[in-house]
Amino acid sequence: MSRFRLPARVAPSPAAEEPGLQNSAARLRSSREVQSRILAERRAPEAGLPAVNIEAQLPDLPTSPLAEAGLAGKREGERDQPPSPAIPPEVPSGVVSKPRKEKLVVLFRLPLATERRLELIPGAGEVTSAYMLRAFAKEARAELRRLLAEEDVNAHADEARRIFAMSATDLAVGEAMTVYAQGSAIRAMHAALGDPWQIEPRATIVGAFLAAIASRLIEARRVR
Amino acid sequence: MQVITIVQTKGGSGKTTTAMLLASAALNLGRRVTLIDGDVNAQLGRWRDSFELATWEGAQKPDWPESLAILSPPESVEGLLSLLEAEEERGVDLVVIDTRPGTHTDTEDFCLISDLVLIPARPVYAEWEMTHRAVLWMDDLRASIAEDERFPAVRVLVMDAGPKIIDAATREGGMAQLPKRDQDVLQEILRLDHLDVIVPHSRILEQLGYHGPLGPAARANAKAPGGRLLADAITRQLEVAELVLTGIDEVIPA
Repeated sequence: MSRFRLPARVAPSPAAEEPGLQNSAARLRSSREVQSRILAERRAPEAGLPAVNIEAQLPDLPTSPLAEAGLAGKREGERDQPPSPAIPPEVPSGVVSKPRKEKLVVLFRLPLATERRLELIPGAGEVTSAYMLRAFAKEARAELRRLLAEEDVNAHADEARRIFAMSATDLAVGEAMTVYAQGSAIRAMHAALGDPWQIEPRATIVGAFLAAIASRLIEARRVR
Repeated sequence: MQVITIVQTKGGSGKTTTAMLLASAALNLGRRVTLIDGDVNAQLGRWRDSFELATWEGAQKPDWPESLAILSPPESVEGLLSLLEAEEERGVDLVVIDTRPGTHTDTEDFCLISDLVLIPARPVYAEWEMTHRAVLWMDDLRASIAEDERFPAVRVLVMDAGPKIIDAATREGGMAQLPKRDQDVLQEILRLDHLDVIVPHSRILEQLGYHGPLGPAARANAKAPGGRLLADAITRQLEVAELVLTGIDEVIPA
């Protein structure tokens, strides 16, 4: 067999997920976060504050190059014109925008040991294990979406750390699924798994937390 | 056969120049090279034409090397895979694929069939963010394929660097001589997986279309009256290109 072949995909192509966009918003934001870190590191000694405090104060707002420059939705000729005083701004000053959810495609993979515990759940005989897994995955996904900040994330950090460190052979064959998570929660997840600069792929980190939440749900329901 | 894809989300970052440099270095080492021009601008595809059309003054223009082929990419992935097989059977040692700027699925296909993805990065403030984005794109691409599948090595190549940047990266205390902004940019680029070579800024880089492959150009100019200085400059650039290729050979053995 020829060595030239395309590898099997387990998630959609990152470029196909953003048709027409040369630079995905997610990657742009991530670059902005690195810039924010540099700024925070640089400002920290002047302000006499540890860098982490300053970083926490950085606004958690959706970033787009046009929005940032105040040019979103404007045509070329409109860019230099001052805003008309007759039209009130849509958002009153002082109102913080809604926290932004991130859409991610993650691989839902439970540890093999956890998957075996599905049999110990009341009513397990009435449905297939694949059906139960999907039910727990959906419940975990809803829980993941509710996580907001460090304290919410920390409740699942130990289990996520354990799953993150597991080798692929200790995990069941997974299924790709779309999940949503708050930007602040994703950052806290990276930090909890020892990746404060967010070098690891987000899908891997969030996937570990999704599996951790599902493990917890399964553990809570099994017959002891 | 080594297969290298050159990727950068930003245009004008040195992708085509890198392809031309790698081809020059490999030809000088006696390797057979095929370039595939996946860029819509087709600057690489027109390299031979630019070379043939250029009017060399004073020096005898050499023939285009037989061991260097420039091809257009096939229309389908299957076509690309067959093309690579055919090139390997033909005894080609190095295939370099140039891509278009931006994030595109065809570029991803090129990456996935390669042994190495090379991301040229100019160490300037306006561009480093794009380099970072290209690296993140490759991370996302890696996450999109099955775990037991082969994924190419990804390396950044610092391109077109001025003397201060080179001093900062290579000399003790050189970093302090740089303005803070440039220090940050250089440090951020060097934090990424990179080849241990920096390609210095040179007029030769801008004139690759005119000179053609660097080895024959250096030899032709050395023979021409008054061509010694130009020949030396081309030779220095060729030496850098060979260092880049040596760095690549360490990552993916030839």
